[in-house]
Amino acid sequence: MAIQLIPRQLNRPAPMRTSARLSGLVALATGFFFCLVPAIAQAAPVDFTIGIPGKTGCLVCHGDPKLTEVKSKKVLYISESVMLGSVHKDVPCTKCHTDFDSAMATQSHQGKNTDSKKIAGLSCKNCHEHAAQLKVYDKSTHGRLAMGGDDKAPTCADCHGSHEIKSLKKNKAYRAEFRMNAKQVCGKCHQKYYASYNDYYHGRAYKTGAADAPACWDCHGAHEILPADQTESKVAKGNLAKTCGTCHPDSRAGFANFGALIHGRDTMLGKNLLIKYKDKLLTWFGDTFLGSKEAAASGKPAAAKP
Amino acid sequence: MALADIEDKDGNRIMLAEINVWADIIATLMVAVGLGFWAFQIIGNFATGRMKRKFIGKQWPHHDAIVPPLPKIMHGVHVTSMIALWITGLLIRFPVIVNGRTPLKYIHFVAMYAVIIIFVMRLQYAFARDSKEFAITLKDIKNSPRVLGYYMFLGKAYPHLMKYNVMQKMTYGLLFPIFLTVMAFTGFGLMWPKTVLGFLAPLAGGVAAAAAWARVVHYLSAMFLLMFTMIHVCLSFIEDYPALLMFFGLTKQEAHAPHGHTTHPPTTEPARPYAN
Repeated sequence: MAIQLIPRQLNRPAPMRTSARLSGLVALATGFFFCLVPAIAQAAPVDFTIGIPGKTGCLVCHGDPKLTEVKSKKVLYISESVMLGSVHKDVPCTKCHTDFDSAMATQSHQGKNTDSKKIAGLSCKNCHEHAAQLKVYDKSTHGRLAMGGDDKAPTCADCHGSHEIKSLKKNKAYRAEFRMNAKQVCGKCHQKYYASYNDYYHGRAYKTGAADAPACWDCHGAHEILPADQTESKVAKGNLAKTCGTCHPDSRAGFANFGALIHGRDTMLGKNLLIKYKDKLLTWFGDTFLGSKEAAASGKPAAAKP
Repeated sequence: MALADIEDKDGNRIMLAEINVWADIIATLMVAVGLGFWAFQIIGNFATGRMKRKFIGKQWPHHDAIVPPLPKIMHGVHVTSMIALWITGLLIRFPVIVNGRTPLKYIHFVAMYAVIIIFVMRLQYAFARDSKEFAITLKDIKNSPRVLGYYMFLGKAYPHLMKYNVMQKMTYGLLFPIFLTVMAFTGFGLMWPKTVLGFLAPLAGGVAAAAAWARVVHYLSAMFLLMFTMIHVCLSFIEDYPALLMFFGLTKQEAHAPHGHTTHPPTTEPARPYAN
């Protein structure tokens, strides 16, 4: 079929009258107001549930490394590559951030009155495969505190991680990595206990990466953790022998008392008679032969004792 | 009442834990004694002029017979394995190497088997060839104050003896075999607690407690052996440096004609030319 070329000027429509132009513009503005604005408002929330790949949805904003809360300077950036490496890479953000109101995105981001971190941290219960752990956790000291509204109480995400979370069941390498991460998992809150975990075979070995040395949760329990003064606790006096027995065959109450060394070695060393005597001796030697610290600092010899 | 149940004055049953802390202090003291002995011997030998006579005057003890290669080889393997055992053992107790416990344990096991094999071979060799050299006689006991006096720089004369003096005989013939046996027993006990230490469970308060005690004994025995070895190496170096080199195959031994060590009284002839 032959194409007929029409000159542009010949194809142009005939000029309109002024009154007709005005009525057309009004109709266009009215149509825009009643149709397009609600359409945009309806379309926007849909994007927030889109998966991570392709920098869509939440990551349109949160994928920006410079995204920071103005007042608190809190970094709001979520690494796309980290999320893609997590076991939840196909889970929409709103599945965990359940308090995020997609219909009122602006309101949810500003002036929100929900503790979104805690809600997200505990949202694991929404998936049926984590329900068993949650059931145990609810009875633990961590769970009770969290349910009681304690802001500092650890949620699932505090120990297992959030956006970077990986499967402990399926990922063997990560399980080994997680196992050596007690400093971060437990030590960030229980600093004193982690520092005192310093005996030869457990603490020191664990801190140098010995795979056969126990992590905190091997003795204290993980989801079921309870304070030692509660009878159900794995480290309660009555249960110690059984807990130690998981590694040490035929562990009895007497042996379990040996556990005093696990968190108490440094204290015991400090209290040791000979160590104390050595310190006194060194102090005396320093004062007598080298001069006291004050004298050394001032450059004058130590004053003679009366 | 089991050993692990013994209470302290506050009623806390932490004896085993306290002993473990004390074990480190005692072990440190043992190493300090070993180092102190080195310092004492070096200073004493310089002060009395013995060092000059030995290392410059080349006045070393004479040896009647050439040492055969087998004991030297056994000694070499034993020394290497013991060094490996001490290093790995201390690093297992005081871990500093990242993720090092498992490989260190393997090295420890290999060296342990080597020491045990050499120990059994040496016992067999001793019974077949040289057990008499380790026998402590009445003469040895009578001479012991003078030997001790010589090493303490209290006397000039070194009593004329056979191959080993009374302290060497006690160390090589009694202490080392006893401690090696104790270490082997406790070491195997840590490997297979139920099998090896099961019979001690009623006394210790369970197999786990017996293993914990075995660990303390194993550690202290190792440190005790280390202290004695430090003294042994010190005296080998200072008293008979050529023999030390010869024993590791670094020089050839010169044998002197037998001159009747066994026939004359120990005080009539000084074994070492510098002794008077």
